[in-house]
Amino acid sequence: MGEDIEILDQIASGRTYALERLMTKYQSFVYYLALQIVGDNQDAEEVTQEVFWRVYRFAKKFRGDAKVKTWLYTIAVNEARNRLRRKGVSRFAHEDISETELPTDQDLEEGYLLEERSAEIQSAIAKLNPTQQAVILMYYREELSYQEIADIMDVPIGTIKTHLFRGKKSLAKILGEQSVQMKEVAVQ
Amino acid sequence: MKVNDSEDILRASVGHYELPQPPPTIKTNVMTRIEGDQRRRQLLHRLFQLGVPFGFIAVILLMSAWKPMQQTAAIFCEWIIPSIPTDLYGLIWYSMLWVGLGLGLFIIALLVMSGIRFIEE
Repeated sequence: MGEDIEILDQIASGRTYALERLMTKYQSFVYYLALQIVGDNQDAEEVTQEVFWRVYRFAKKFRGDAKVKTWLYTIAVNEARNRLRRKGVSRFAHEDISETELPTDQDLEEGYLLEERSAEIQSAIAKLNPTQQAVILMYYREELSYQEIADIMDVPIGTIKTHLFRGKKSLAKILGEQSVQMKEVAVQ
Repeated sequence: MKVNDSEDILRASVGHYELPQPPPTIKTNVMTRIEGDQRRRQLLHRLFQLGVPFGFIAVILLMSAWKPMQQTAAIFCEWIIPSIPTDLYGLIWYSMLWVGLGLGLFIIALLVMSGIRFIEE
């Protein structure tokens, strides 16, 4: 985190190589987030460009009260949503979710038949809806807290928890189905 | 299998999740845009560096070519230069006038500088 702030300080003083470093580090996830929201490669590319352009322009204004990557992802989500809004499309994450349908630990336990199933999990994640995918990746891959994800997506923290639980439930279901299919293939 | 185990496996799997590769043009385009912006700022900066003093001189020259301005300047000079006061009250008044003029020029310079900075940003 300290390294990111250092990079941002260098960007603020006009050093473009620092921006290149930041891009190398984060552009994949920024592009992924944008793609999840706008659903189109061209738009996601433009959103990613705009995000890093803004980082370059406004690096001086970063107050340091959040992680750099949280700030970066917040810009990405806002920029992508603005793009969708301009196009009159709604696709991502503002749906109102009640917190009453959380799956139990038992549900999750039953769904996971986990023995070196990394590849299966990855393909299962790709089948989740964009919001659940993004939340699961932000939580498990980017190691952001519920609060940070809620801030990035500008939704209540409960909504994030719900997305995460539902995502994991769907994941468990998909993995269960995949396991059956693989067994069938093995028998044939 | 316990939930904690599955959480760990999920964390490990997602940790290695292969994200879609962003097009290499993103970095190039951002850098090109930044270079363009930097060139534009430099140009603007040079324009101001040259434009402000030359503009100031041009305005003074234009104003000095204007008859009413010449008359006003003559009155002003006559009022200030030949009549350096000898009494205390006059001296105070005289120095305050020059301090005021200096302050006025300083404020104008500040305004111009902040204007330049604002445009550059």
